[in-house]
Amino acid sequence: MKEPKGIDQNEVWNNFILNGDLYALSNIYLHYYDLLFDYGQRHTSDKQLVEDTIQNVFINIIKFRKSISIVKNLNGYLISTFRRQLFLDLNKKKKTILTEQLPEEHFDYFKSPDQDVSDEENLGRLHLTIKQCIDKLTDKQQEIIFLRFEREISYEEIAETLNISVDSCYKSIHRAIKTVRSEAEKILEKRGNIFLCIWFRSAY
Amino acid sequence: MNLEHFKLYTTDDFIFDDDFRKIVQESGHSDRLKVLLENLPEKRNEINIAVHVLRGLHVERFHQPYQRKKDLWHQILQAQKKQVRFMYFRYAASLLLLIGVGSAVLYIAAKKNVDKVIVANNPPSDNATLILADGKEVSISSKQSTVHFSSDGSGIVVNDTSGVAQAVSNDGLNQMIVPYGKRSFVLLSEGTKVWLNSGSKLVFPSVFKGKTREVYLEGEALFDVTKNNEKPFYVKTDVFKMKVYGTKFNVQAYLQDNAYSIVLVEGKVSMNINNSVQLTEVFLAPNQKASLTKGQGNFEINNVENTEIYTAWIEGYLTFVNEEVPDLLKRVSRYYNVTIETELPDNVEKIYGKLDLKDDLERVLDGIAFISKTKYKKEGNKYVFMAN
Repeated sequence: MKEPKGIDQNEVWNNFILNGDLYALSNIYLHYYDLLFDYGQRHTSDKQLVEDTIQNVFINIIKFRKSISIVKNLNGYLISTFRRQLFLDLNKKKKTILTEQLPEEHFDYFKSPDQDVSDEENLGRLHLTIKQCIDKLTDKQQEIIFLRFEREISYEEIAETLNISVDSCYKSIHRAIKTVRSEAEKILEKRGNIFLCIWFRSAY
Repeated sequence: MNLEHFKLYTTDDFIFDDDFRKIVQESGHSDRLKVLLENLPEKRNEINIAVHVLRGLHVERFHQPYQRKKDLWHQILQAQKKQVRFMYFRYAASLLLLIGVGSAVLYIAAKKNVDKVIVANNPPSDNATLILADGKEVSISSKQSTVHFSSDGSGIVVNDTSGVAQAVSNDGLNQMIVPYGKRSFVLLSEGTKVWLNSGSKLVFPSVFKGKTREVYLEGEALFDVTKNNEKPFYVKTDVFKMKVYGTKFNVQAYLQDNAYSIVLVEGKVSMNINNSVQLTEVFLAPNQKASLTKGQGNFEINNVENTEIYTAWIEGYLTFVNEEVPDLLKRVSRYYNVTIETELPDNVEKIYGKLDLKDDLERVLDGIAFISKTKYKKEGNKYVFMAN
């Protein structure tokens, strides 16, 4: 997470928890919205449901403020609370609508807001290989990599969020990355080091 | 940038290094990457592969337009205002209900003048019952009831409005029986206040005639005892007896629980285990808790930081600190008189918080599930909690 300089979100959060300051909570809401919005859409294509779930999470946070303790890592707390609410809401929705319209439920690592970019034909060979490696992983493995590498969530918090042990979380990501890395090595060995130079020019 | 530790890195080490990932992922850091490559020529290959893997793993974020987020936040604030208004109406309604029940008692008592005064048509076991020394039974259907004994023990006021009279000459004992789902307050004739929690029974005389004041308790009660050095106050339970020296304390002595406890708020008390060979009394100081497991010969004394946790139930709150979820649910099931089963794994975290017991049961259960990160379902008449 890129934090704006000088604002400690944990401190803002504590201000809400201790004093019920809704202005403080509005800062938290706006700051973390996209994190949750993005994470939710990797679980389901039902964008409306993701929006509703975020609302439910924050309504509950206000409702049960006095029972919520001060958290060490807000990122992890919000992500695990949101994930739980998302599956509750998904299950509720499943009961009320026809089976054909079921919101799908899986983790899609490479889903992108800009559909053209993720179009496989436009990806480089290496990028495509990495994507294929990741796609072959289980939903849970994909989610672990996503949370650790893309959202900087600690192993402990991932383990808590996904209801698995820290150890299996750790092993799982290392195994997965090893596969991805050795596939990448094979391709890069053939091409040599020129690739890196090209990347330097195209990246930024 | 300290580069020393990078010298021993494998490709995977680079991928898993938080600092390295930041250098690769955050824009504007290609300079730092160049420095790294120049200073670690021998690691060029590893860094190269790591950079490609991390870049390959990077994905674009979904995001909402800022205005949409602001609008959605305002919807939450609107929902919040409605909530407050709703609560206000709820309290107003419960006040009306209490007044209604009170006048019904008065009406029926005045008109029929029978031994048995029944306030509502609920089965008697669902109501709090006051059995008087002379055999009269008063059934009280309100959720929270009060019973005041006048100083001579002859006048009894139920729920502040309805009066019942009995002859003082009677030496028999009164019983206040509070079922699960109800709570009661009893003012004894000499001024001692007793708050009775759900599923409790207090046995006491109309007036204390002997050299001591003795009451018998099953369940949970908070006592605020009037000081009288000449007539010591005793609380008896099925496993222990305690002597009170003008004081305020909470006693938990549910027969079906194996654990008994006393928490002292102010003053001084001492306890003796019934039929104990040990004759020495155990004394308790304010902010101390004595716990006893049935069958064991000794009280365990612990300090408690905040006695409010143990007495908040008299105000209709349930406060809990570092409490196991199944224990908390046991308490909740008593307050609401419902069956709650748990199918929770052992590793469920202990929880902290405060619940408003004036809320509907499901609202309270929602709150517990939310805090403890568990879920529950309703199966017929019972609720089952399980891991999420």
